[in-house]
Amino acid sequence: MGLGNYVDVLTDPDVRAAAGRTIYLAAVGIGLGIPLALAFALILNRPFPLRGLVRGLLIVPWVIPGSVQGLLWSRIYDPHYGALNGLLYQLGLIQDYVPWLLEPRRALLLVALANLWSTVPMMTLLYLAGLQTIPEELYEAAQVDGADAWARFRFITFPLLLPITLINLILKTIDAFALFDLVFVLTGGGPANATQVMGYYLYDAAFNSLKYGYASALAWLIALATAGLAMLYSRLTRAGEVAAV
Amino acid sequence: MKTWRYRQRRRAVRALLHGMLQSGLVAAVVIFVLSPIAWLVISSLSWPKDLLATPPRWVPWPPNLTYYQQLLLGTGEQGTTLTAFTLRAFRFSLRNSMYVAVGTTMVCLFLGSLAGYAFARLRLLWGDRLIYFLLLVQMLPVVVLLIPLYLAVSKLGLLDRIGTVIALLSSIHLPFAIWILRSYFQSIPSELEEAALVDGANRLQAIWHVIIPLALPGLFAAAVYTFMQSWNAFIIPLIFTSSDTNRTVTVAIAMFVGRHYTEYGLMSAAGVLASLPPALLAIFFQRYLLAGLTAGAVKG
Repeated sequence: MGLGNYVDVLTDPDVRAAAGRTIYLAAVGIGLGIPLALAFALILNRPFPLRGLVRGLLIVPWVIPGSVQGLLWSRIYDPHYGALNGLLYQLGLIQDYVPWLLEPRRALLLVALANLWSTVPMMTLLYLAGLQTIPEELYEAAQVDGADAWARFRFITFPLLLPITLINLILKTIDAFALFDLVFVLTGGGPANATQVMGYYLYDAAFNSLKYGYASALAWLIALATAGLAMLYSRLTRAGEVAAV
Repeated sequence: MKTWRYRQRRRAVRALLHGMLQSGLVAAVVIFVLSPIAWLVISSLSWPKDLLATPPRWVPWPPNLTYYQQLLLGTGEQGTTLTAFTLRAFRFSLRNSMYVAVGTTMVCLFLGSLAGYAFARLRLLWGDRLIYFLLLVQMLPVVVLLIPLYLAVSKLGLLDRIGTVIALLSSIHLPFAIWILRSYFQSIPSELEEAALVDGANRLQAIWHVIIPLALPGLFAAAVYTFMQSWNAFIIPLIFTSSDTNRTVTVAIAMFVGRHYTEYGLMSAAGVLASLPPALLAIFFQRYLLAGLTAGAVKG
């Protein structure tokens, strides 16, 4: 006993693998998610008909229960009757149906992309809130100075949204450690543990392998990591009040 | 004259192109958001042979409503080998989710109002630190808390009860309710309740008659948020319930996928039904939900 469980956790290659997958998940969420969310926010920030409705729809992916999201994506990725195969086949992009979730690396990527679907709208909404805090005069002044659209984005929008970007970055990383329902339903951690991200690995260690001591030690380490990120987050929100309505 | 007209025409063409580009981009966002949901809805309305069509049949016309009938009423064509047992378990689970979501919301509103008031008005030792600490705790992934909770609950002999699920979810979502309500209470001038106190009301009366009516939008925001989060809760009901009659709908869906994966249509209809309450809340009360979300920490 004593610190033995912590030593076990820290030296366990399975933990390292799960951490690697979690970081991969966060990296996809950030690397693809943040540019996408920023683009969406810029698109939706201009006035257009039915803007209220579109913004209302935007939040829907985020409120769909995680287990239903798992079901939804298993219907899309289904090797025989899924929408993805059907669509790609009809477009002539694939010659044969692909068993999407059978190949380990691809399975993890597809889980990350499925997760992206529900998190990008959330990030978009935060960016939209941020865009509203940028004073219009800045853009007018820049236009007078002859700045084109790219320059206005590069020197006004992007830097002023940086706090929101940081918040999205932190929240996305915390999310990656918390992801569970989607994985549980969509892949069950497979194939060959390829989608066992940290949250799922912890659950598995505790409630399938019944290694309570080991899992508790791991839970503490995850909690500490998350708390560190959360503290950073709360400092950011307090300092700038950026995410305020 | 000619150049003026030329320029005007060029401007009109540019505006048109700009408008088209803008509409195209907005359409792309809408497609990103809706197309996965659309496939679930299509599956839920398809006839059995269309579900197995290659390539898929995209428009299920006429729509097949029997899956919804089977799930909600237990009637309709029994074209499947699925036992009535699973269908009944699904209906139980819808009811349980309603109990859990309503129960958790009520507990969080009650305790959240009292605590939120205390944080907003009373001089608490380290009050400000405490509230940030609460938010910090609430950002922890729930899976991290499971082992001690599980050991405690099983020692107390309270496993597999809806009440336990409500109690646990309340403890998880209470910090956020406190946070939302505190900021609403702070926006209400304290002179109002001081007047009530001078008139001889006690604290609780002042809260009940003066503060609560003024904070209704805040209570509503907290209610919408808590209801949605507890309806969507997965890992807590997964671990703490075990019998089919006590499962919530999110867990029932996972079990459904595990046991009857080939029942594409029925499964999809179940997924649509389970998503309706939170989706409708999001669409109709978006403003309240966002007020809560952007006011503080976000829990996924």
